[in-house]
Amino acid sequence: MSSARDKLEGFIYFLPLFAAVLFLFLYPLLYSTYVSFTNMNLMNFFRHTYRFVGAFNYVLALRQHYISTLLINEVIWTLGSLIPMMALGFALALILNQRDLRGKSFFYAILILPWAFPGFISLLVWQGMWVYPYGFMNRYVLPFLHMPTINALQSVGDAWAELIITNLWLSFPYYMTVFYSGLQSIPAELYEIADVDGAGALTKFLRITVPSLRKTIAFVFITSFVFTWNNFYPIYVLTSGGPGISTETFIVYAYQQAFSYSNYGVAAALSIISTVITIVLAVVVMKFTGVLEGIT
Amino acid sequence: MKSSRRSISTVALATIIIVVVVVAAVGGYMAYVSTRHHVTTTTTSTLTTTTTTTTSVPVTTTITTTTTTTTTPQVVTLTVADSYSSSENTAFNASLAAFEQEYPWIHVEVEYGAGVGTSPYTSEAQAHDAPIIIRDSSDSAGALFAAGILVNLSQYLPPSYFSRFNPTAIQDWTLNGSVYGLPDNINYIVMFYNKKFITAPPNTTDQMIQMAEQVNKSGVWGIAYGASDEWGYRFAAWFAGFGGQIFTTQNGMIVPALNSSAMVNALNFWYNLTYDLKVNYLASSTGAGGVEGQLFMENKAAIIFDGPWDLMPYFNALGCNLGAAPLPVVSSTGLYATPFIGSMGWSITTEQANGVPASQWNATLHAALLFIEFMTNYSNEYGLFKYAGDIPALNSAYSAAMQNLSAPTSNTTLACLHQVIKGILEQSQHGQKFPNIPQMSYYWNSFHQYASEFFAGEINAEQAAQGMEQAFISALQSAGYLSPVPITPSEVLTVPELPASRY
Repeated sequence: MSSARDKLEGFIYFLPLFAAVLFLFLYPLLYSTYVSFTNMNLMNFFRHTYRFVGAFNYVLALRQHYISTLLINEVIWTLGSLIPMMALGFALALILNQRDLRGKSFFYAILILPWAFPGFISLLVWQGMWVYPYGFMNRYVLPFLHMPTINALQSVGDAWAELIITNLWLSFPYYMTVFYSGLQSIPAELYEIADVDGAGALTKFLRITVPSLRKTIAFVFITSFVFTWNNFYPIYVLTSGGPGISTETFIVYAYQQAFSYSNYGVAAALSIISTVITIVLAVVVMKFTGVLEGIT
Repeated sequence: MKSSRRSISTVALATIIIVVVVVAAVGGYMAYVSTRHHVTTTTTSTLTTTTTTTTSVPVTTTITTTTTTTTTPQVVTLTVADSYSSSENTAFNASLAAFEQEYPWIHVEVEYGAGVGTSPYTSEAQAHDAPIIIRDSSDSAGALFAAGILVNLSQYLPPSYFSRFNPTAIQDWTLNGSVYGLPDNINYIVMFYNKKFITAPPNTTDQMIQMAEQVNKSGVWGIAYGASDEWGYRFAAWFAGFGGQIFTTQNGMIVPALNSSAMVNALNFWYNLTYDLKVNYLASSTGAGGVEGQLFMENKAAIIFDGPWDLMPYFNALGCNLGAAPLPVVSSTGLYATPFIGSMGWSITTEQANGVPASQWNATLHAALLFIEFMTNYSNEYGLFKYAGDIPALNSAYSAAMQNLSAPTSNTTLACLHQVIKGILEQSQHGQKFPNIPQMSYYWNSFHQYASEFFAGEINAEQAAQGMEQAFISALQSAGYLSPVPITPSEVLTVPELPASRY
């Protein structure tokens, strides 16, 4: 009797979370799924005359030639952004973590500045900086670095470079901060013992730093992978998915289907396809790399 | 101790239950609000007996308005989505003050900086929370009207009322014989040029190229036209100049007609000017605030294609060096490049879209009609012309504007501005109707996707023309537009009785 009461009590404690999840997460997800099986568009949306069309929107989306392009673009965008972002964040965190570094707080404050600006405003500023050949990047920075100028209107490669560099600038403070806090949690004694044993910098990095940060890396990788996969604004503001659909991702394409074409059914189907792909990839990553073992 | 734990547990339990009940209640209410349907009831009301007589004299700038109110109606609140630019808002705010003074029983809540298009209003309409009055473009509003979100004004205003406006503007606001908005301007793109580099505007594309090549030698761009950033609004003029049209009719069905030699030639024309002759700067953004406008205002580009809505920034930057003229004749076809003659204007959302209770709808609709009539009357359209350079859609205001432009003035700056506006008005002789059928909303992305790919050198012009047509067709198919189902106009279920004496 007592056990049943405990279970009931436990369930009641769980209810607030369940209610929040139901309204904030499950309802939109289920509604999107429902919409993806209808022919909802601007003409029938308001009149409520849309009807169930089965998997038509999915078939339509999967049969279009653009689906493979979107998938390839997603991979370029996600991995192309994630790898340099994590690498740069990690490198900066390592530098900041040096015990004898002077003005650490000052540098840290400077480096997290990109976070201080609203992302959308930063993107608009970057849009101006990339104008060919008059923008700040093409006029000063790239020539100064002896690098070729970038014109996203005339080259797909340039469009990707523009997107990834901008995203790198917008995102690295997050990675730096997370890795920096992870590094600070590693006991200094471990490094002191390694010093006594005569370990070099590389050995200490590979044998102490990386294993100690395994949980952090796992967390950052999975959450950032999903976030970047669905990151909408950089692409929408900077290239609008162009030239053509060369830099278009699922989420941008779905947005255009919904708000340019008002094809809500197709847009919902594209979103669901994107979500399923993300879930599958996340499960595969978790299963075969065991990156979550340290967390769970 | 055990008792204390139990009492804490009981308090916690009670708190949690209250939270759950509150969350569930709020969530349930939100779900109810988002899905509730208005029950439409037919009501008749004679709340107001306002008589307004308006006399407009086209030649002079005077307007006589006589209002006689015999009963004091209940206060009505109108929510208005205002998409005017800052210079236009100067005129609008003055008009609004005059309106509120004339109709003290109407309270107006204005949402400034509202977007133009369908998307801002569809979800609001679904939630029965759309503004009562919106200012939108005729093509976007056409889609909203077809979707049942806007009121059919033909049911409330007589045809003679619409004849006060420019016929093209009224056509822009007509779908299946029903008028769904009152135009406050007509708009289109023209050729702005800098007299410092080009003394007389080119009449043909051959002349334009010659002049641009000449200008280019001095290190200034001959033309700044971001063809790859195009969504098809400005390019439609060149497409028409090469003999093309966006739609054609096959077996009574409207189908896209982008895959044509006209499209191929128009694309190749601009590609040639950009990459071969190198006289066109492929700008990444348009308008006075974009790269095209910035170059033009800084004397770094001689010709741009833009609308009168950006006139004042250009005039402020270039002064008497600014010139405006119609787009040239395409030399290879002998046809004018004809831009869309579009129109902005005011529409009223249906009670189902704005959520006004049925009991208040008569009074609200009456107030809304008064508002949109007021905002498109002589003094207000003339005010928009005066403050922002908008081209009036109301015939009397247009005539007054023309007369004003022709009047001699000793003010050199004003004379220069009048010359520019005359050039802008000339373009109206060479325009095409802006399609306002719902299918038009599927044109922009289809065009943009393949045009941008073409100008990036990824595909050739033939592939671009085929691709944009196919994308257009696919989009229309997935939206059900290429089935033989006719597009139904908005159904207004309730036709309230309104005072007819106003007309």
